[in-house]
Amino acid sequence: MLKYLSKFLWLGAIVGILLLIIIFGVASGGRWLNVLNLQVVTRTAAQLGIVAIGQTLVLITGRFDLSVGSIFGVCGVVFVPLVAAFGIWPGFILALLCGGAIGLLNGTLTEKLRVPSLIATLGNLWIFRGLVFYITGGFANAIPRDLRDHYLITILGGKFAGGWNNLIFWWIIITAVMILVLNRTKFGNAAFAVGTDERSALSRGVSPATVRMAAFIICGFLAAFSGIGTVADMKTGSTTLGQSMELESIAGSVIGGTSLLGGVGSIFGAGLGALLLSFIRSGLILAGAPPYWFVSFVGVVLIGAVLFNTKMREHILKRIERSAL
Amino acid sequence: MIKTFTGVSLVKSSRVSLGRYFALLLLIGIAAFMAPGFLTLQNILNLLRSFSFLGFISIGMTFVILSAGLDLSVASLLALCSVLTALFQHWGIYLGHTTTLSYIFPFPFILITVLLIGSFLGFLNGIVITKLKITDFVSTLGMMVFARGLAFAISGGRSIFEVGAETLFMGRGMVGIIPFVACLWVFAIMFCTIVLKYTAFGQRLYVSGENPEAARLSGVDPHIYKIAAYTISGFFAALAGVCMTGRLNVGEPRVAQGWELDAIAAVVIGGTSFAGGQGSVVKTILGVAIIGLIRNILSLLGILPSPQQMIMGLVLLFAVILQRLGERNSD
Repeated sequence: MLKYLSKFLWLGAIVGILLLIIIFGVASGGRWLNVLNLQVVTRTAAQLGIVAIGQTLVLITGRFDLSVGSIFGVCGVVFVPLVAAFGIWPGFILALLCGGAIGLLNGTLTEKLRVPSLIATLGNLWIFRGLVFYITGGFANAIPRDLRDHYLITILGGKFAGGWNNLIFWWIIITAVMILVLNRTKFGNAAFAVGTDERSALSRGVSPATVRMAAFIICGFLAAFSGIGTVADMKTGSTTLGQSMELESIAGSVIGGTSLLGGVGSIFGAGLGALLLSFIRSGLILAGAPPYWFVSFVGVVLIGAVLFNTKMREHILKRIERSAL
Repeated sequence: MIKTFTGVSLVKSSRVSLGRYFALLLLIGIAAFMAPGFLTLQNILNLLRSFSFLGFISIGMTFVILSAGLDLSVASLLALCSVLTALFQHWGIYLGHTTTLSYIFPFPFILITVLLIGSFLGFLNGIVITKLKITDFVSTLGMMVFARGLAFAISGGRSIFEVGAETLFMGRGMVGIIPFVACLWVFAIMFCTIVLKYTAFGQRLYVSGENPEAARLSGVDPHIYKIAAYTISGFFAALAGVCMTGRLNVGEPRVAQGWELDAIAAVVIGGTSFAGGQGSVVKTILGVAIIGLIRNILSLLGILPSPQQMIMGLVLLFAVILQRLGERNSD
């Protein structure tokens, strides 16, 4: 039944997005609803959205990953010197592997050493944010000029069809693949099972530790990919890359209907959530609010979305029970 | 729980806490070796003062962790209250009446208002967690960004320089040769220890943290104690904020960034269990001292704040892993 419910988790997010489009479109008098602004908005949404996919997967298995912002930052930043030292392809693969390795570290800490995922990933948040400062030395480092036109950089962070960022294209592909993985494969089934009820999953021969480790590793890879894509797009990696993304990615997942208790979640919804947050950010900036307000706003939206989800779920469950009687 | 009463695990657990004292002695040794003036009375009193600010929020965090919760919002509440303390005294300047510090509000009024605001935001955390049933981590994370954002928004991202004499006394004043903050901290420790050990409130807080279901069955509503714990945490964050404003002579929205991590680490290193219901404020002092000394030594080594954050992350992970291994051994 929960799985049935999770098919309609993103309805709230859709309504929110449509409302925001109408409000911003009317209130800004055409300044918000033009192609140039939408290209910028969807670009930030894609950066956050790819991270939110990984976060959703981890949340479905009943864990948190607070280190995604730092993985995003460290892999994006380390991409620059790696590319300069080893060339584009090896640099890309090494930077991506860094993300996977941090995911493996998160998984080992939480599943093998039984540290609560919150604490383990909070520790890693600080460790790798510190590493970002160490790698960059506090400066924004640029990709060497002669490598910027390389086809891989263009594929990752270039533009297609008149200004839309390639990251949007990747975002759509990854979303489609992950939806298939979650709904059509054994692993997807195991992820939902582990998040819903650890013991019964174990009794059916699904190892919660293995599934969760895999989720952490996939999450690490996706955060790394998004970070590398962002750097390939901007051609520079700065120290603030991915800061506070852990919160935004959790907020995005939750807005899309993912439960923080595990077992319920929607990859498609996470995408909508990322889009919604990106809309709110651009809307607040256009409305002339200071950038600090966005941070406060995310906190409020996060709690509001969790609240809305729990109430909705209770309501729907009650109706289903009543119709069954 | 019964396990801890068997002889074997008692020996083990005392070995673990011996390790803590050993770590503290080791750190003191390193610091004394690196800075020759380290073991003078003056420096020890200074250290006591610098520990107090983290000490206050760690006391609050102890209450929350005892009730099986987690408060990520303490550092942001501290910053918000710091900004508020300075802002209340600058009201006249902002309104354009005067160019000097305004005393539209007398200091006791400001102090009580700020403490109430801190407590209220903590109370709000508790309500959101218990009544609206949102996991403590998420609601305090929401409060963390909300309060920090609010601190930036109301100060416009600026530091508010200069505060009144009473606020300065809270942060810098001396009682004889002992810093006033340190006195306040020691008083808070004693008060909270008595409350936790010898009052019905304290006993019920332990019970509702360790086993909420059992607490409910014996007529204790665990929700009330959880709300109380978060309110106390908010109160101490506000108190630390006022003292910090006096110490720095500035209302600063960037203050105490990442201190929630230090406070959690202090509580965990002190030996208070994450599962709730086990630990004490006195244990937390040990954790605060260890964390404070590590920070102090790192600063003596000339390590910048952001790499320091990285090392603190490692220390936290290390402490939690040790605790877990200790628990697994006693199983």
